[in-house]
Amino acid sequence: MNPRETESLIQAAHDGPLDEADDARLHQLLRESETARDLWCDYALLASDLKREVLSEARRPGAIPHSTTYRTIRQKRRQVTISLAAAAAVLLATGITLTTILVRPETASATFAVSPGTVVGGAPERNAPENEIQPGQQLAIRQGVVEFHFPNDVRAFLEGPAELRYVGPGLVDLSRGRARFHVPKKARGFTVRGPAFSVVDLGTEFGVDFRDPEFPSVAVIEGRVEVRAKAGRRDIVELAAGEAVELTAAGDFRTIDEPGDYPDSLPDRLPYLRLGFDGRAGDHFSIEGNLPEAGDLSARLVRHDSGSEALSIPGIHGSALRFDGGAELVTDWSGIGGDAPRTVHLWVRPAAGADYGSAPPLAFWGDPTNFGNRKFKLALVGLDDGSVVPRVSLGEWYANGDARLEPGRWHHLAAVWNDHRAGHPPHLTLYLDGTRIPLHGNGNPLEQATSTSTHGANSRPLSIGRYERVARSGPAGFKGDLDELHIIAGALEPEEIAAIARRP
Amino acid sequence: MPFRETISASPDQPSPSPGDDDRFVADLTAEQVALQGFIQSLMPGDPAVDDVLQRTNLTLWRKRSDFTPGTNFRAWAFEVAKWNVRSHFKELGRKHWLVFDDDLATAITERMAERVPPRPAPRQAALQECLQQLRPIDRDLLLSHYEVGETLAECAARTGRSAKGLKVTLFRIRAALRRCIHSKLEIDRTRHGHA
Repeated sequence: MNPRETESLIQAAHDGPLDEADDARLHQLLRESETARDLWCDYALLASDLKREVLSEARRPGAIPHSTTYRTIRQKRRQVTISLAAAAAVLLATGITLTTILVRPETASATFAVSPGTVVGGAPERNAPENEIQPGQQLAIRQGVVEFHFPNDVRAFLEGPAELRYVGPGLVDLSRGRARFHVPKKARGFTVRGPAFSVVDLGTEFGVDFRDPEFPSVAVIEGRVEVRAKAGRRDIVELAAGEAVELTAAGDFRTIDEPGDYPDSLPDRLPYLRLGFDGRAGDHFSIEGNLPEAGDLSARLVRHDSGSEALSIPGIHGSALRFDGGAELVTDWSGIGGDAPRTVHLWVRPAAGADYGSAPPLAFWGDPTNFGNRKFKLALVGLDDGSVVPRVSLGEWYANGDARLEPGRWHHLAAVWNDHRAGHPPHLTLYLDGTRIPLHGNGNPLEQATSTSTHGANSRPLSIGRYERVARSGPAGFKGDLDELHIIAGALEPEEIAAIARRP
Repeated sequence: MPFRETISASPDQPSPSPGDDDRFVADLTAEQVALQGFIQSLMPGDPAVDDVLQRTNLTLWRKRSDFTPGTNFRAWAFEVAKWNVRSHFKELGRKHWLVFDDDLATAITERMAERVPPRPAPRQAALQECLQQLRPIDRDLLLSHYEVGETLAECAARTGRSAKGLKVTLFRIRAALRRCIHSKLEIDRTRHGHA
């Protein structure tokens, strides 16, 4: 065997199993030749060094630059002139498209564009265009939606919070987030490696949902994919259009009936839901928004006490809803889970003389049971001195806002939770009538992390005005008026809150 | 160091003094690169190399009172690592793909103990310099290959390139890297000798 053949055989053995004949040849070679053994050791060291180099590359300073907020000039101007809602209407009416231009990739690099409000702490290489990502680089998307164009015309929409590493043409690592991939025939074999399983495209369009690490799922929209579990029994399943599976803790796949919703375009602002209380049909209310699942959602009125009612009355915009303490509006939306950034804002008019001692919720979702529960609740609470102040509860801890609401008067209330990984505390901010207010509460709420449970056995969907504990012994509901509830999958900036709070 | 468990001395072992422990940890830390390379040499292409390294570290720590200070730490650590590799194969019931018999494993162990430099830093620096000399496309292919850990056939299916072509390209890149590292370390040694 000549030196090149020897080297080739040794390298091949480091890449994967040899056939029986080569295996025997290699053993013989290593037994007989000290030079071959030296070469063997060299390539083992090289493989080991390269693996370490890959890791250190990922950790090298500069690989993950500081967070950048992508906001268009158009949007900045908008923030100080008119409310977001009005601006969205203007954008839609005039058909203005996003200002970020996508460039079709001609090389191994991929390009991306972001929707307004998106915050990316990620890795465009130095001297490279900002919307380009090279093989080996990663993007941490704190909030918003990013559209990727990978080589071979593979296209993806990824909703934050998400972490994507572009390994190279045909392969991405997605450790968090919800995404839709469109893979044309020529890119067959495109692979998305998730935290618990890999999805290998067999010519298709598919969605993955890795927002909740305990319930990763994949759904096929068109064509077929192969899904391989990474742990447990390492099951492999092939899915066709309309099929969806979720990985269980045991490492096997469970079919899910609802294939889920995945982003399919760049929205004109941060993903949101709006419950304006205008589109009422009996006990049912419409929900609007640009979250992928928004079109399937609605809310219904539940009367917990006999004779209780929620009347539609004139509000800030169109109709508002008057709660009498016995009514609850229950949606079929599970809410924003984990520690994902979020903003909840609404208009509220407390009823004169109402008792808010039990902190009835204005809006709430998650798991409200047991000590250390995992919910997200925006509420009003009555203090001993008779004052009414806003409260945000994240389960095991809460914070009250240090500002009073006046009964009988409309107030704008906003709570913003920021991903604790996005930077330093505080993660929670509260605004009353567009002004940030001081917080105080149990524990040290400004530095706490949270994890809202949206898929647990006791998790409740977004509910408004009241919530019943599992034992059906919940506190009294909210008395007063609500209007224009918005839940946004991202943290709004103070000036955006201030603009919204300015009544037209 | 890749310890992932809380480690403590077994109650049935004599407790080494804190000074002994410090020395032991220093030795163990210094040999991490060599140990990883050595384990790699006995189980090439196996994704469990890091697991076996971790297990080896734990074994070494638990048996640290067996080590006589002043003797060859690397040789002792390699023996423990070899035992852990064998135990790993046994657990998997692996009967084929480069399971070396004792004689061959011993021969590899001896060569490896001699070939791994006492200090990993110069080799690491040489590797980084050599990587910079590669064409970006080659560097990306190489790092992706080692990051993903997929076979050439899988890589070929994913990239649309032929497995044969990929094999040739990777062969060329790795051979060039190996030569480059050797050459840089040799220059380093020469300079060091004259200093």
